Amino acid sequence: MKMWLKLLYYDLKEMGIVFFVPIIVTFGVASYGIFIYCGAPVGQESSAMVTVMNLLQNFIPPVSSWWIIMAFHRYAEEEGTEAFFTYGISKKKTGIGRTLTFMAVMIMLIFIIMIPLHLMGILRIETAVIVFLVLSVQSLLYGSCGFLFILWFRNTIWSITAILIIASLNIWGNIPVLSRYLSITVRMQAQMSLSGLCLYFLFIIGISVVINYKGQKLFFELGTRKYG
Amino acid sequence: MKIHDVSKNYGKVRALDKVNIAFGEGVHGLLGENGAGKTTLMRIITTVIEQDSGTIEHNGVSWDNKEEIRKMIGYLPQKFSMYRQLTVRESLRHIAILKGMEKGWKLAVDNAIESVNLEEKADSRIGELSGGMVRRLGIAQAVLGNPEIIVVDEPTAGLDPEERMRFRLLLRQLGVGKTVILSTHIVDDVESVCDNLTILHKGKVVITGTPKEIKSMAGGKIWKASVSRDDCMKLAEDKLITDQKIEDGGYDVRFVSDDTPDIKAVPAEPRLEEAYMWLIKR
Amino acid sequence: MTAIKKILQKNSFIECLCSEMKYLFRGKGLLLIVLAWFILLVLFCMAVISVPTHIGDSFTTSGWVTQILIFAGMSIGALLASRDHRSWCEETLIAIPKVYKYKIFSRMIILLIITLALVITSVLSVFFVFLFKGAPGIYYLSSAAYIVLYWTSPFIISGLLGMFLGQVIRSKFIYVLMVLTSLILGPLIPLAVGSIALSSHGPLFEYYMLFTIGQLDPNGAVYEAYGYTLNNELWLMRFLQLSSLLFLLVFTSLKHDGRRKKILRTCLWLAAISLWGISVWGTNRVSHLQLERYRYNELNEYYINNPESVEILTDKAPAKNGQDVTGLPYTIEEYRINIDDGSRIYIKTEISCIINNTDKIIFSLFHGFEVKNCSVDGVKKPYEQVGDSIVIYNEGMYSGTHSVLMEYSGLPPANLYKDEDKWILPAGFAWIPVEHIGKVMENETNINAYFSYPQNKKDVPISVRYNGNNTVYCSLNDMDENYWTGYSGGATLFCGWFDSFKYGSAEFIYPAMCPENPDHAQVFYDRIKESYPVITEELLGERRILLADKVFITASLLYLHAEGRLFIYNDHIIACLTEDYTGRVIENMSGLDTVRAIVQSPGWEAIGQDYIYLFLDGYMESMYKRGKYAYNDYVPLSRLINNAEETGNNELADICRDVQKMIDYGDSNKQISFFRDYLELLNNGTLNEREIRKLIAVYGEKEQS
Repeated sequence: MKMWLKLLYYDLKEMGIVFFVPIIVTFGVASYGIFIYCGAPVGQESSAMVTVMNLLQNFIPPVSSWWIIMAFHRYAEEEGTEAFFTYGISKKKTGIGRTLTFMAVMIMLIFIIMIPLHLMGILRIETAVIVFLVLSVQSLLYGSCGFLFILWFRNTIWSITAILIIASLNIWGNIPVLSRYLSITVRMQAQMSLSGLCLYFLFIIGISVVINYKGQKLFFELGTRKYG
Repeated sequence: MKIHDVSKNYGKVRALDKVNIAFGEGVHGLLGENGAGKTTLMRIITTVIEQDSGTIEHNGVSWDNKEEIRKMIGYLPQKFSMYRQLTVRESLRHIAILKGMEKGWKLAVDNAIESVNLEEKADSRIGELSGGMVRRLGIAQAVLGNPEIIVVDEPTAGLDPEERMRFRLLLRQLGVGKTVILSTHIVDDVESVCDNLTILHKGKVVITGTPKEIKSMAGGKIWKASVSRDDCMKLAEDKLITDQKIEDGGYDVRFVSDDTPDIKAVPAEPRLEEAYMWLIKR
Repeated sequence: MTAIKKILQKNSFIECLCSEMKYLFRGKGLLLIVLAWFILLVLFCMAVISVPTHIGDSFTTSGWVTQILIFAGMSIGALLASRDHRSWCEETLIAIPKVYKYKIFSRMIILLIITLALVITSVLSVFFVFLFKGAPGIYYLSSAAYIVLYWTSPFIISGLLGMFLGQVIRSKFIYVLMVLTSLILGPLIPLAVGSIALSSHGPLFEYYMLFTIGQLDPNGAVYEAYGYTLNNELWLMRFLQLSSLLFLLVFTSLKHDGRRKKILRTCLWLAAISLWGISVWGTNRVSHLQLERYRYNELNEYYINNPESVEILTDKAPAKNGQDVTGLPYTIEEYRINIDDGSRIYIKTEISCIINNTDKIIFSLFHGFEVKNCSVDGVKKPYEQVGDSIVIYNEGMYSGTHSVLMEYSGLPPANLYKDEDKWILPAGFAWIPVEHIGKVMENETNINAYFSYPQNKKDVPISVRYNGNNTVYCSLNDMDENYWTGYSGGATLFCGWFDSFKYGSAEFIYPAMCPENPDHAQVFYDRIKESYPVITEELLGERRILLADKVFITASLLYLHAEGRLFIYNDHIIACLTEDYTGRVIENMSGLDTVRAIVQSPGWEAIGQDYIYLFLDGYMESMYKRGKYAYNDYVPLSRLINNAEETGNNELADICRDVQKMIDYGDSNKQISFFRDYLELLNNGTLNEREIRKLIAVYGEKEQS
């Protein structure tokens, strides 16, 4: 565990200032949502709540791929990391393990912002739980995509661009085929039933598992792909 | 080419401190430890970066006139590669045209490829070359266009011994009628190729002279002796050992000492490497 | 040819360009990019094919394409710029004369080549889809212009910006800057955050569009009357932004040229910042012009803050809004109007009027028009413009016939002006001075202001001359090119995406993007012609023939009136449609909307909507069942009864049932009298349940056994 934390520590140190991006975005979006709710006219709290939920859904999950892309860019893109592929450390730990750790940190951040949103009366407890779950599984998906893209493209800029494009296409609701069949956003309502969402969660988690599996495979082959 | 009182700072770090060197025709070596300022000086000479103070001029042309200077220079940096999608021939052709070679660039490219022994790989993409081959390509592009000043930084890194020999010959040939500035850690290269040598230490020039002159400065300071293993280890604590070989159960050692050593030792003819180490230590 | 080839081969700049082309075509990324672009185009073409409303809507809501192209452009630019650094040959190339600059410029050309490829492929795809769908001709060139302005110019701007960032920043911070810049420049933030913030009055909503290089309103539909937002200013802003970036890139190209060019570099940097600053200002101006919410907010606030736009400036008591024009001591006899368009509308109006002993002449003129000059009989006079009123003073008393000349310029409300070639000046809106005191718009609902239709006492000769370069349609008679005269209560001018056709003696001006208009408009006109005399005879007591021979069909002139979409004048008709236009809507307007257009008066504002619809629906059903109206396009009273029952308004439901009985079984003449008296009560503003019951008691019928 100690070694694991040390690995993470060096990952974060290596990122430098860009490490703070997901934290700033998550707390910033949540704060803005609170401003919007507080500024809503009397009697329109319900619709303000829905708009805040959509705001969270649009901007927080995509940012979960940031740490993962930054962490793996060193191995996938930069030169001079040949020696990494000779180390005895488990590729599972440094690959999927690292990815899942970052996603767990992201989910923790999401949990933290749910607290003030509930305490301020913006989200009731049931709604907060559902929103938390929706954001978490979407973060899982985006994080997995980040993992796959950085190892597939081996280019940070293309990976970030791909994530941004996917996020944009999901935010825009009027694109044929995509908006109807391939959108991962959930139509947030004031009252949402958990049972209806279970299938959605399973679907998203299933896709994430497949993507992570592919990403891990690419990570195993990274040395060969890069230097072979 | 004359470098006069050139200084360069990186923040609080003084990379070069009032460096004065005159480079004439022939091959001039730059020797120094890591962080001595060799690469910084190379980059200033090749106009990649600008000095904070001091002047450089060559045949009346000042370094303020960057475009004119760039026409006279061929440069091989320490870390070099080219676009991975281009072939060797294409990349040299690219550089030749960029250098404004109007006539005979085709022949020049072919000669350059031949001189670095890359004929077999001439039509291979750079992404497919080994590190040593890329280095050879770097040398080839530096000499394209027949520049008056050729600056090479660690040119023989990654070359096999046979190639290193060929390269030394090439440099010697290039040094005729031109100024070649060579930065290297390999003292053998300096000794066999350079007409003059400048030693840099912590951004300052320690000495400039011919290899023979520099070696002679260390005359009487280099000693050789045959000692036991224990004595060798005891000697190493006190003196700077420059060479040791295992011979008949003991060691034949060479070491630096300003005074006559206590052990049974005889003065030895200084090698350039030893002279360098003595000068730096001093 | 060989000589040209030799010259090209020798040229370093051309060589750089060729090297970049090789990089482009040999890189693995090209195939992926082409595939991704192909998928995007297919998706967009599917959007065009499947859009249920106007084809143009798929363009105005194509912010997702713009945003993706901004992301892509930024990435491509940054990758191009950092290529030397990533290939470890940057130092080598710096040491070769001019190559550092040539590399930058050749990469800019590569970006331009990619942009051209984007333009060509997207325009061809879109034209193919238009042909397939039989789109009106007006869409072709304008859609191509839309693609250039909203797709490819953001692509190249973000590409150049990416190049600048890639050139100067080597650390990971470039990723943060790239993402941040792409989001600030694109329509994603206004879409995802701006509209939310706007509806919830969140902070900073008006600033989201300040830096955008994409669509100002990512959710906006295309205006049937005006088409796409292609203001000249936007083109100019793009040009300024491109120039700004060019300066920035020239600035970076001098990076390795030493200290000598420091002054030049400083000037380039300042020029770049200034140009971008001007473009932000320009974009802000266009967004205020185009986005109705800005101008409506300003308009609403104006009328809320200025409930009475003028103090007592007349000897008479202030007339109630829209009434009592007889109280004004003058009568307008003739208008001669000169009009020009541009960034504002410029109007010079000469009014002949007979003045009856007063030292002040008060007209109503929409406050958005600022009067520059005022003279009476050629002599400049002092005047005061207070809100929607303009008061002209004299030292002595005016009496007799005088000629008043006013020069003014400005902009009408948001829905009536979008650009110098997209504007509407309808009759009934005080764009020329009218005999009236008070506001020309109302805002009693405190939601959105609407026109209150101040009118002159009588129809007068009007001549209009248009001095601009656009195609303008006028309600008056065509006398010459851009010159019209007629005898009317006011003139209507349309300029925008309109086309016209003739049907018998009538001319129809309709939105060019609605090709099905002509067929339905003919039906609509015939029905109005048929019902107009009946309605005027039965409700106004005087049979009138429809004289209007010009019909203007336009998009929803939102809030043109509190209610009503049809405006019938002596010489022309204006028909306003809903946003969800289909051709059928025109036909269906010929019934109820005709009644409203003929008889509605300001007194109706005091009456509840239910009783207004009781009148309108009831009268239409009565006309139909009496055989006076042949078309089954009315809303039956039974719907009103059902609604009243569902909402628990039993009183209304009872009244409606009684009216229904009267319609089903009552005498025709009694029905007509009932509705005529009902109308009188509506116009007086005194209608209530008790009064209706009285009428029913008088004119109603019991159900026949």
